[in-house]
Amino acid sequence: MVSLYEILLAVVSVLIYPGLIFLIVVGLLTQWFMRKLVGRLQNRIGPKYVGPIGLAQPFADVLKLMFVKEELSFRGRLDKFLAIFMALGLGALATAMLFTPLSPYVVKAPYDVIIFIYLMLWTTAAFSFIGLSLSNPFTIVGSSRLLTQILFAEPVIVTSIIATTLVLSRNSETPLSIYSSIINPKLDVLGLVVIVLSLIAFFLAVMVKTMIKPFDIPEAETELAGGLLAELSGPTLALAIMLHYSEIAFLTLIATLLFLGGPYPLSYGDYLGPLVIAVKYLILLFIITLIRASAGRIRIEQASSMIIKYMLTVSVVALIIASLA
Amino acid sequence: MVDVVKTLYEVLGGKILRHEVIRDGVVIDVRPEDLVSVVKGITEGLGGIYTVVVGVDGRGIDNTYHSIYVFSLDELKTYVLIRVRLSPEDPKVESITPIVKGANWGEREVRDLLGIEVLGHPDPRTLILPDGWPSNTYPLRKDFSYCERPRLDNPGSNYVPQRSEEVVALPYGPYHPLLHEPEYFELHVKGETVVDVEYRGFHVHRGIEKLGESRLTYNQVPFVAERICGICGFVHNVCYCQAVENAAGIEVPERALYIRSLVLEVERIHSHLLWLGVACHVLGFDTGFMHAWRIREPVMYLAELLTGSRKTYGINLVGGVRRDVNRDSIEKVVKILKKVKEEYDHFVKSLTSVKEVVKRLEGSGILPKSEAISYGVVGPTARGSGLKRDVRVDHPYAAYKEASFRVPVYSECDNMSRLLVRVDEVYESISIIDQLIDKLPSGPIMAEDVEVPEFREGFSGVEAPRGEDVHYVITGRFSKVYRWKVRAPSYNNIPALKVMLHECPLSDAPLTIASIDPCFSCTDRLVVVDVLTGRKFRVDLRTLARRGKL
Repeated sequence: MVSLYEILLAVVSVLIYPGLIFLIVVGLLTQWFMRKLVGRLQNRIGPKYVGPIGLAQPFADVLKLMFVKEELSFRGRLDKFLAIFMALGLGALATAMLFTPLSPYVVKAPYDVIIFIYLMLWTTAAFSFIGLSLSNPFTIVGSSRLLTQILFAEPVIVTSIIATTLVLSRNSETPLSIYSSIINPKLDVLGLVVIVLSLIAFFLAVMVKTMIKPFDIPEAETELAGGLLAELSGPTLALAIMLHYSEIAFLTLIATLLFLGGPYPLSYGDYLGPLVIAVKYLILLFIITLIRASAGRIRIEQASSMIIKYMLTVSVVALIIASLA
Repeated sequence: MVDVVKTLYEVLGGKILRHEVIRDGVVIDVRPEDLVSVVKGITEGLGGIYTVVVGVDGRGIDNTYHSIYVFSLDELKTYVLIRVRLSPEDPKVESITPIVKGANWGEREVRDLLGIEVLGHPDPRTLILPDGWPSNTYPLRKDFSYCERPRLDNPGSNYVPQRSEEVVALPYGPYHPLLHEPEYFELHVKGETVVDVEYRGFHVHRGIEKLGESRLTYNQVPFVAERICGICGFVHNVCYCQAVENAAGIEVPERALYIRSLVLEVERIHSHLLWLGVACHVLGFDTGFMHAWRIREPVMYLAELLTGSRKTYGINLVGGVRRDVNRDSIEKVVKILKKVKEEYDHFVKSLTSVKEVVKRLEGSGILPKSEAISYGVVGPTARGSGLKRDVRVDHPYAAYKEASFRVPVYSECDNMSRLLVRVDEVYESISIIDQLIDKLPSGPIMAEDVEVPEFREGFSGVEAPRGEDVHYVITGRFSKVYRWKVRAPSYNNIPALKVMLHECPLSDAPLTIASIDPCFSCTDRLVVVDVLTGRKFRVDLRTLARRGKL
């Protein structure tokens, strides 16, 4: 029998913490961090005007797009579907957060990693759908490039998550469960090897999946004028921006919790735990931003060979070791 | 010059009706029916490279139209101007495009603006005038008033999409983040490969040549000429002044020549740094973009120090310069350049060590040497294809005789070689400035006697950062120019993009377009009236509005 309290807790978890609102806020703060850091690396100031050291700039940008800018529509543009798909992507991410120990309402079951991965795929589906619901040649080329990229990168993400959970929740009551892998990891030397390999593969694949330089091939401002996002405006663009940065925040958070041990060496009950998580999160983000600032865009075939060489191979090796261990 | 004339007579024999030696070139008169064979003799026999076609409404001089084909004889260090005189009633001339691909645009321009019919042209579509321009109205004829605005017929709305099932037409322009000026490239893409490209330019309509010929006096034109380009305007300014000086036989004081060279080199440095930044941006390497422009900033300051403005210096007049440089600023110049060189060194090393950037640059946008010659490409585009062409060496002007420098040439013919040419040129420019400052003579900066006689021809070339810029001038009455023709470097380079873009991966197409450092506003200075249109189809504003809305 499900109590009213549980339902309320679930709703609050999905909508506020660590779900929708939390993800959007963390996502936009992540955007601020990346913009500021890239700005400094490029001899610019970066966001500055709104809020202390420009912290509120991304929020101001999104709010402006939502309430001030108009939505431009044209024939052949599937407006409603666009919004629905992006909302679904955002919702799926928020729901996936319930699998982590950050959530007061915990979801765990044996083999729940499958559901987790399924939920993660929704953002990609949303972005691919953007390309298909607009009749602009730039968007079409952009979405075909995204699909190519995803075709190679998604298996990497799936393989590395499965390999890690396989190792970490080996002897637990709920095998292959995200929650028990994070909260109660079983680690030996071989397991450590698997995790390091998976982390490398996962980390790079996140950059591919979230279209960060040098993998911003589907967006490619100077080639495709924004590609996927070329025809978005007003609230829809705001939604796309929120979805994009929430995805980056979500995936980096998962990397922090699953591969880097969350608050380790502290535990989840410790009041300094969130600080440790934040520091690890920022370190990952710093590396991503550093790569982003020091690389040019590569060609799609260069990207796919890079993914196969450095990501797919590594993650498959990790999976083989994990299954043998 | 005697040798040149002798050689010309040896190669062309009796086809030369008469010749006239001008400063920096030889004008030969030929019969219209001999034109093609003369051009063949010049290109095949003497290795002449196409420079420009100039049309002149000479009815006010000798009651004929002139069509002048200019070729650069780099080895003989001179230009040869082949002039045919055409009947005033029905000017017609055989096309030379079948043998010289580069003349394609030049001949169409002459037809559009002066009504000189070109027979046997392989691509006789309108080039410059907008669709709907009334027939038999030629804006550069002398009987066409500069303030006249003809009514355009409605361009119509017969919109026919031109893409087949497999080809996606990607519109690059008129407004696109890649192009910072309005220009239209339609890339036909199959998968990720560009199979064809369509170009439609001439969206910027200023009518500067007409303005210069009808309203301005000699010494007003340089200021307008400088505004042809927003990056390398000074080259147009110098080139015009030199053309008039050549026509009038004015001797410019040595110090003025040095100052011109100094400022030209400062302009080259800032332009190349600007381009390097843009190239990084096109590659998605924005960090490189920001840092290139950071390094460029002191160079802009340097320009201000020498001339009083960061851009559009306005220091040139026919006969010399208006503003001297003082000793204090020269000391600062040396100091600033030293710092710029250090930072630039560091920047270039980091740029060429980013693997992604190098991989994207190498092997893309190939322009073979033979095509480069046929299209008559100029500047770094030519030097990246193994052609050793540089106006500063081939047709020395200003104070370049006094400086020793290397002309960087790379023969890989790809985007990387064009980049390396520009990278090396910045070092050379810094060295030229150092040398000129050491030797800077004292003395006046303006010629004492500036008299411009009527109806004299002058021709001059200047090596702009983008390549050879040429101006042709016929002096006129009442302190005005009778004919002023400008040919900016991009005018010769853009047609060669068709070769470079063929079978190019889509991701490299923007870089290839950027690799010629196209300066569209220089190219576009001739059109008079505006209409938004693609080449194969026409879309007027009404259709666009109707089709754009839900």
